[in-house]
Amino acid sequence: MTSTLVIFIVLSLLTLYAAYRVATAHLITHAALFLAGTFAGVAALFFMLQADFLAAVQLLLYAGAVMAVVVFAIMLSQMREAGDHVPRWVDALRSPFFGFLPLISSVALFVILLISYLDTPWPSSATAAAVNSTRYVAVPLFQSYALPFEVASVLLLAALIGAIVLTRREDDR
Amino acid sequence: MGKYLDILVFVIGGIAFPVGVVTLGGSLRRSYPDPAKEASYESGETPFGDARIRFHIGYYIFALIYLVFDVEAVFLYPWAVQYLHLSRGIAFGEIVVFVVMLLIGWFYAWRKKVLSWM
Repeated sequence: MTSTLVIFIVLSLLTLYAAYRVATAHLITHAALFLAGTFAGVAALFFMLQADFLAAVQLLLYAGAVMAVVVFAIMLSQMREAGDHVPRWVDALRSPFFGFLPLISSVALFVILLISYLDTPWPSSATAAAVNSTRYVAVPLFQSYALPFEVASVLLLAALIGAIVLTRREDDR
Repeated sequence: MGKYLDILVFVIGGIAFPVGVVTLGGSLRRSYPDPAKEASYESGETPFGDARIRFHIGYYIFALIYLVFDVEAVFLYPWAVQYLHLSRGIAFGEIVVFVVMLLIGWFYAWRKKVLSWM
């Protein structure tokens, strides 16, 4: 067994354990902490795939900004423990009668991932290592996909204005 | 993979050092627990209440604006680093449109006074 394989297995197990604890943690603050751990673990796996840019984005956006939003949302809510004041329909979804729904959706997601994994022509590791991974993202993004890139800026503007309208202080209205 | 080995060693060392020092200190010192010693340290103030209080919804906007500008930074980075490999005129125009869009949002946030601390 190579050292790369050992590191991969350890990182995967840590990431999977953190993801499992997100769903099973009793306090939602703990769930948020494990969610940050899951994001960091996924970033480490991206590093192992030599996708530096993707790993940095994963750390900056998910472990950084998305976690900040999640923690703010938790601090704003009255909920302390997972399961406090859950609506009736959420409770119904967790009952044995509907319990198979999450199972079906996760199996379906797994099958989709497996199909796309088998369909993708993977580059050999030698060619992938030769080129800077930021260039793989930048060149198509600013040439073939220029219009989606500009649409993304409009989407960000809409998100910003929507957030301001929704959280504006009462006395400004 | 090899270039990240340094980071891995750094992370392992960074975790092992504080954990090791605290464990070593805990095993060497004698333990005299006392309610005053076990209270959380609040710069000399007596702590009261729960750490989990509800914050005003107005603070949420700071997290959301941070998220939006973080995403913008992620788009700017590959553009700046790979600019010489792009067709320059078009790439410059694209980024100007992108930044102007975000500036409109920033200006709107500024005019609505959401950036002032409450």
